[in-house]
Order: sequence, then structure tokens, then C-alpha cells
Amino acid sequence: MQNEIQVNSATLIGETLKMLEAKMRFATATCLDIGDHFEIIYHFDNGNEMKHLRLSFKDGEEVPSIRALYACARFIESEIVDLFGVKISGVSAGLLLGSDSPVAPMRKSAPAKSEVN
Amino acid sequence: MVKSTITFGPQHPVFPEPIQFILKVVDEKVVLAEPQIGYVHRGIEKAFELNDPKDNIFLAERICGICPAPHTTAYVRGVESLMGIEAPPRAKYIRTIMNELNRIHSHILWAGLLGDAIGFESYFMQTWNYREKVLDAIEKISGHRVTYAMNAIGGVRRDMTNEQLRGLEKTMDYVESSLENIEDVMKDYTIKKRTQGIGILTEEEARRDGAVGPTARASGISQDLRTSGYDAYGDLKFEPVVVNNCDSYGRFAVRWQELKQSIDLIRQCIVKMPSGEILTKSNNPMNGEAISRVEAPRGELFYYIKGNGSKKLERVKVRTPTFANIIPTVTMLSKGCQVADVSVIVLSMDPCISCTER
Repeated sequence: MQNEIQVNSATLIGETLKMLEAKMRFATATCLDIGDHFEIIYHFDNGNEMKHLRLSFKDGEEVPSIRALYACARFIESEIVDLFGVKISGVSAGLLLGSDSPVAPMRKSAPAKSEVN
Repeated sequence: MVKSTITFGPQHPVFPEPIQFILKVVDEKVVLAEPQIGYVHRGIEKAFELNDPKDNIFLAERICGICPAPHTTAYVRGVESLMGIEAPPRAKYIRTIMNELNRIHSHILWAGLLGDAIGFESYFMQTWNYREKVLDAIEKISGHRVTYAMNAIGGVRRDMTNEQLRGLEKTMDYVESSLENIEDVMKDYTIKKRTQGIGILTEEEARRDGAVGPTARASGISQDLRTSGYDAYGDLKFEPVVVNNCDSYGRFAVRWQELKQSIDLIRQCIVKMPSGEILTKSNNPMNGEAISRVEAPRGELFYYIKGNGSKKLERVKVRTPTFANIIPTVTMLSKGCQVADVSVIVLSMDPCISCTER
């Protein structure tokens, strides 16, 4: 995508801080299950153009949360944890799914139809 | 001072859809609000990956029963971007008309629900009566009142005849005069007492919390995706409706002005409607990533779509405006509002929960 910056767990917060200082609005984040790894694309907007941070990480790796910089990331990160079963620091599951819901239903390995207890 | 906890929702008379706020209350003042959703999650993003992309249009419009036009518009525009095609000009105008009709009936619906929350039942009845005429107009154009699936990948499914355009003009005249009949509600003492200074969201807070749509525009932020000129909006004259009230009344005022603006935009579309085809056919593969954003009645509707060249999409991510407006609502609630004002404050951001949870 245009205006995209590749980041890792170590550089995510620094690059997000630059977005905050540039008065970019945090629109949302998209999680992708690529197969051998995951990606989270953080989408920012300043009214004229969008900028994106693409974070790649392995399954099981804990990535930092950007909630301290953007309070509005709270629900967005919770949803990603719920639907993909990835680990984000300090973010717990339970926003959209309950204890009897399918686990990480948006993973490619998840069955298309799950039995709900 | 005794701090107590009140659970507001998910089943509550003023909430048409389930959302819960756990309120920490001191006397009658709310000092903290904790939102909880997850009652109507349907796994629609997963379903997008399993269906034929053409069938996904019907799925997209079922994300939200109030905003099918923006959802399908955002979806087909994203897929068109992946395929490298563009809808013909006439199709863009028809899309714009459907989106503005959608905005009109959504804003009228909201005005009625606000009246209902305040206890102004006759206002609720009047507004929804006028909304029926808008739904009738949508039915005459598309064949359906709610899930009208006018959009297709590459254009629209149905053309509009001159007779339909003239009929739409008459409907706009009717809706405009009807709304003028009840415009004095904005000056009503009780409405002002229940909304002015209630649910304050400053511009700084709205930016920090990522507010979108009328919720942001009522806090002085000039943010309206239609100004980017997608579909026919680039040919139409309009300015975003922005007020600086920063309260529930301001959000009411923005939507009221936007009703008039939408009527004007539809009239402009009728006058400027180009002739020609309504569909660009293509079998191009869907490859790459696309972001498609449209201005839905509640604000920015965000679609991320990824294709891998196969017949199905690899990922469709949907971020609805209400999802973005929940955190700003928590800010509004947690400033010491009265318990009795919680319903008005939550409704002032026009929540759509089924849309939020997908």
C-alpha cells in the first residue's frame, strides 16, 4: 500500500509516536493471518492522506500495545486479540467473544463453521 | 459519598440494540462508564472470505439494516480498486443518490429515537411517519425498502428512469416541507434542557478518542469523507456541516442540517445526472490490497480488502463508525453526568451495535 512503513515490535511505539506528533488520527488496525506469521496494519489519517504501519510477528510473540498513545486503540486491539488469538501486551480477550465462543475464529486454521456450546 | 454500580443495558427501553454500560455512580452522578459489547457478533468478516465476492454485496448490506448503501458502496469500491475498474459516471450518481437517501432516513430515524428517549412520543411518531416516505422512494427505485442491493461490482444493478427521478424530486419536496413543520423542536425548551451542555466532548477529546461523523463534526472537527470527491461528490457543491457546541444538542443540530444538505445533494444529482451505461463488466482478478472509505450517516466507514488473485477474497476488514464512537461516548459519560442523561448521551452518537459487532 502507499505510505506504508514496515515496523517490528521494537520500533512500533516509536513510529506510532511520530504519527501522534504529526496529529494523525488512528482510524483502525487490520490483522492478517499470513500463514507462517501474522501482520497488523495500523491505519492513520490526517484528513488528506492515510499512512500505515505494518507490523509483522510470529505466532506466540507478544507485541506492544499502542493504547498509551492512542486511547481509541483499546477496543481495536481487544478485537484483534479476540478474533485472531494473538498476544498484545496488557490486552485481554472477551470484547466480542464469550467463554463458550469459538477460539480465534478469524485464523485461517479455524473451521468455517464452529460448534457453539 | 457512597459509590454504587448501575448496569445500563444491554436490554434497556431506550436502546434499540444491545450494548451495556457499567456505570460507577456517586449519588446521581456518573463518574466512570465501562462499555461492554459482544451480544450480537455474527462473524461476518469470516463469512466474507468464504463467499463469492458478488454474493458478498448482499452480506455487506446485512451488516447494518440502517446503512446498507454505504456498506455496499465501500465494499464494491474496494473490490473495483483491486480489479482496476471504475463504475460509469451514471452509476456513480445513482450510488450517490442511494447513499444520500440512506442518510436522510437514518438521520430521521435517529431524531425519532432521541424523541423516544426523552419521552417525546408524538415527535417520534411524526419523524418516523416522514421516514416512511423516504423508504417508499427507495423501494420505487430499487424494489426494496431495507436491503436494496443497488450496488454491483463495476456499477449499479438498476438504472433510474426519468419518471423515477421526477418522483424522487417530489419526495424531496415533501420531506423538506415535512421537516420544516417540526423544525421548531430544535427551539423547544425541554429539548434544549435535555441536550444543551449534556454529553460534552471537546474538540481535543474528539481528536484524541478518534471520533468520526456527526459526533466529530459537532465538536468542531471538519471531517467528512465526501469532500474527498468519491462517486459523484466531486461534482456536487457542499460543505461539511460543522458546529462548535460540543454537546448532544450540537450533534442534533449537525444531523438536522445534514438532512437539508442531503436533500440538496439529491436535487443536484437529479439535475446533473449523466446518461450512459450503469455497469462496467470485468473479469479481472482481484489482486492486492485496497482501502475503501465512505461517509456513512454515523461517520467514516472503513473497509480493508485483500485479494490474492483467486476467486475469493483473502480478507475483508470492516470498521464501522459506531465502533470508533464508543470510546468518545465513554469520555462524554465519565464527566459526572446525571444517570437520567445517560440514555440521551449514548443516543446522541447514534449507536448502531449490530453494525459495530458485525
